[in-house]
Formats: sequence, structure tokens, C-alpha cells
Amino acid sequence: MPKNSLEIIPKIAIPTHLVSQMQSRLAYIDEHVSGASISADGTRIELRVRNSAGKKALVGLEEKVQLVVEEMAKGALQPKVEVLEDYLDRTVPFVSDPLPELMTRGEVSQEYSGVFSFGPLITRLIEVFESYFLELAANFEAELYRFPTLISAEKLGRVNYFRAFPHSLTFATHLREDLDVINDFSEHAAHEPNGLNTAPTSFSRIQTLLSPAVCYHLYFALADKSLTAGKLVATAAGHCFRYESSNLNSLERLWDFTMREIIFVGPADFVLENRKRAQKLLADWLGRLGMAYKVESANDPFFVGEFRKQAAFQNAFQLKYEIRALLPFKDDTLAIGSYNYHQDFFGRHLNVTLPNGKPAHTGCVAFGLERLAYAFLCQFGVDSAAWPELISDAME
Amino acid sequence: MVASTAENAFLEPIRGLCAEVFGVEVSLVNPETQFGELPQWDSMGHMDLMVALENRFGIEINAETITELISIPAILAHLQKKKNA
Repeated sequence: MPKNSLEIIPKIAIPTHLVSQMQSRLAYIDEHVSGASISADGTRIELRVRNSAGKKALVGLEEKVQLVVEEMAKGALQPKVEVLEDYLDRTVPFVSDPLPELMTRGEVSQEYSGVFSFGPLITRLIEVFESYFLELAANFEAELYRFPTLISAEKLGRVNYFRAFPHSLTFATHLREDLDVINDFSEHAAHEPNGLNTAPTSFSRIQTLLSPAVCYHLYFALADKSLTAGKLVATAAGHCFRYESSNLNSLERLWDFTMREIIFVGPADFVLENRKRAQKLLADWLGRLGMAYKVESANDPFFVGEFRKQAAFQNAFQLKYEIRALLPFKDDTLAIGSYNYHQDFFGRHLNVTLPNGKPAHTGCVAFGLERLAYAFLCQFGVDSAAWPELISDAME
Repeated sequence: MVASTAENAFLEPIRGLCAEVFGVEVSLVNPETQFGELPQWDSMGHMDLMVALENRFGIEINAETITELISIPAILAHLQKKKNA
């Protein structure tokens, strides 16, 4: 056991299907924790602790870990895993991690943990993917929308976002309107190793956050309105922010990423039929690309207190499916997109109604553009001459 | 023979349980109330209700019960069936 590790035997054995999700939630239990590993059989947890943590910091860590284990694992239902497509055995030409080469070439630069800039090759590749998604959206006669990067705290609260995903929120603030506070900041603000040296009291109360998703903006725009046409299809891309703590890892998990969504609003059958149609069209495109991937049922990353119930509900009603692309260099998969159905959750909470007065149902197809680009490069390499013609031709 | 919803001996206990779980007056829970009709009977409320049904009536929560027990009549029919089994 390394010096800065703590071994903990969980009071309840962690079911195999929860190992990965619990591992990622343990990153949030304390600022001194730099990571966690759970043995494959779920009977042992290794908590990695930062060098800066003194003995005092370790007090109470085990209690927090046991609390997380109990909340997530006690009475957890075995999820019903439904695999809609499985093309993981497709042969792809590349097997290494392209990231070191991309960084050497200056195609990827890390600005901060989970915050990356991208050079011309990846930018162009994402543009090519985007042109396909716009074509896909045109199949549904989707209206084009643009949404802000900031999102209203009041409205996120209205759809219970704070309760479900508190750990991944990113807050937007500014200096309080106060001459002394602003002058003091101007004269003394400096970045220190643990962040800006500004007192939290200098900042305003939180009224906005950085958006965690694109489609919420559409639902907020439709709030307290009747959908006169009875249905709506929209598409938009935007920056999304999900804080992942020490789980921020290479290009697989970014704090700031771009998401393209096609959003369906209307009666249940309209949303479900379109979600299915989008899945078929995307399967055809991914097949023409020759990408190795699978589509399987999944759940959103709910935080500890809400996890067990919300994940069970999502799973039982098969509300979410993820498109998971193969990362050949680590023989693992990465979620690059998802097919989502929210039932009438947003319709009811935001009072979006159909012409018959009933709440609208909603759903969306979403793609993480940087993740898609990264998975593509993992499977086809950084040399565009070796890429599928469908993409290399479009790059010219 | 399955008793009608109104005659079902479980009706009042279930109405009471729903009121308790959703934090509403019993009068708001009628024999036909279903998922989504009360703002509190949303996905979270539904799972709270499933846990309460498990604790009080020994119903096993699984993907089938979660998707089937989405109305008072469905819950009553399930309890009646379980009692007759």
C-alpha cells in the first residue's frame, strides 16, 4: 500500500455494476482525496490522499467512504442492461493512444485540469462531424437554435438539478458591486498555488451557472407555454461544463466540452419514434465510418443521495442509452453520445403543454464533440491519410 | 376474484401511504391517481413510493414493479394478487 493511501473495507460489498460509478463519486468526498480504486470484487477500497494532507485530514475519511457505500450500494438493484447495437469487434487500424502525438504536434494543449485547446486538425475534424449532425438534424426538419453558456440558477432549481447533480456544477459569479471590493481586488488580486487570493465574501451571490447541458435552454424557453404546433424539433451546439474533480482525465473527461444535441418535444410517441429514427440513422453513419462501438442502456451520473433511486428509475424505464466507442489502446469504451427520453419530466416541472393541455414529453440525441473526435483518433490515428474516405474527403 | 378499486381493502392504506410519501393531503390521492398526476409523483416520488411499498407490504422492487406500479389501481391489483397467491 503506497504511503499516501488509505485502505478501507466497505461495510457492504460493492456490487460489480457499481464499482466504476462509486469510484468516480469517491473523488468528491474530500479535497484531500486524489483518487480511489475499488477491487474488482467490491470488497476493498484504496483511497489515494494528497501529499499535503496531514493526519488530521484523514480523520473522518473512512466514515465518509462508508456513507457513500451505504447510500449507493444498500438495496441497489441489479440493472437490466439492454444492448441495442454491438459493433465492438469491428477491426480498426489504430491501437495506440493518440494524445501524446497530438500534444507534441500542438494539436492539443492543456490549459488547466479538464480544460483543453485544440489545433487545426481536431477543429476541422469536429467541423466535419458537425456538418454531418446538421444533415442528420435536417432529416427531422429541426429548427436551428443558439443558446447561452450561462444558465439560470432559478430555472435549474426548478428542474431539481441541484438535488440530482450537485457535485458537477460550475458556478458563475462576479465581484460584488462595491467600490472598496473592486478596488481592493484590482490592487491585490493574485493567483496563488491554491487559487486566487480573493476572499469569498468579495463575490456576488450565485444567480447563474455554466450550462451543464444544451437542451435545458430549450425547455426553459418553452416554460409556461403551450406548444401550439403540438411538436418541435430543434438542434443546437454549445459549451457544457461538468466538474469531474480528480476524475478529469486526458480527453476522456473534460470540464469544458462541446455538445451537439437534436431535441424532440411533443407527445410521447413522437419523441420515442424520433429517438429511434435518429438511432437508426446514426448506426448507418457510424457503420460507414467503420467505427467500433456499442449502444447500451445507461444512467446519468446522479450524486450519492439520489443515485440509487434515480438510476433504478432510469434503468427500469430504459430512458437512456449511451453510444460507447472502443478505445483500442486500453481495451475500454468511452461514451461519445446518448439517446435520452425524459418522459414528461420537463413538461410537468416547467409547465410546457401540448394543445390538449397535457404536459409535453421531451427527448434528445446528444454528442460530445471532443470525445467523438478523440475516440475517432484512437481508432484511426492522427494521420488523415489512413482515415475513412467519408471523413478524409470532407476534410479537404 | 379481484375486488374493484373502490372495494379493495388496500385502498385506504395505499391512499394514506401515498399521502405520507408525497407529503400531500389524503384527499388529493383518489382511487384512480396515477404517476405524473400529482407534481410530487414524479420519478423521485415514484421511487420513494416503491421503497415505502417494499417496507410496508414486502413488495419486491425490480424493473418490472417500477414500470408497472404507476397508478393506484395497478398497486391495488398487485397487492391483491400477492394476497391471493
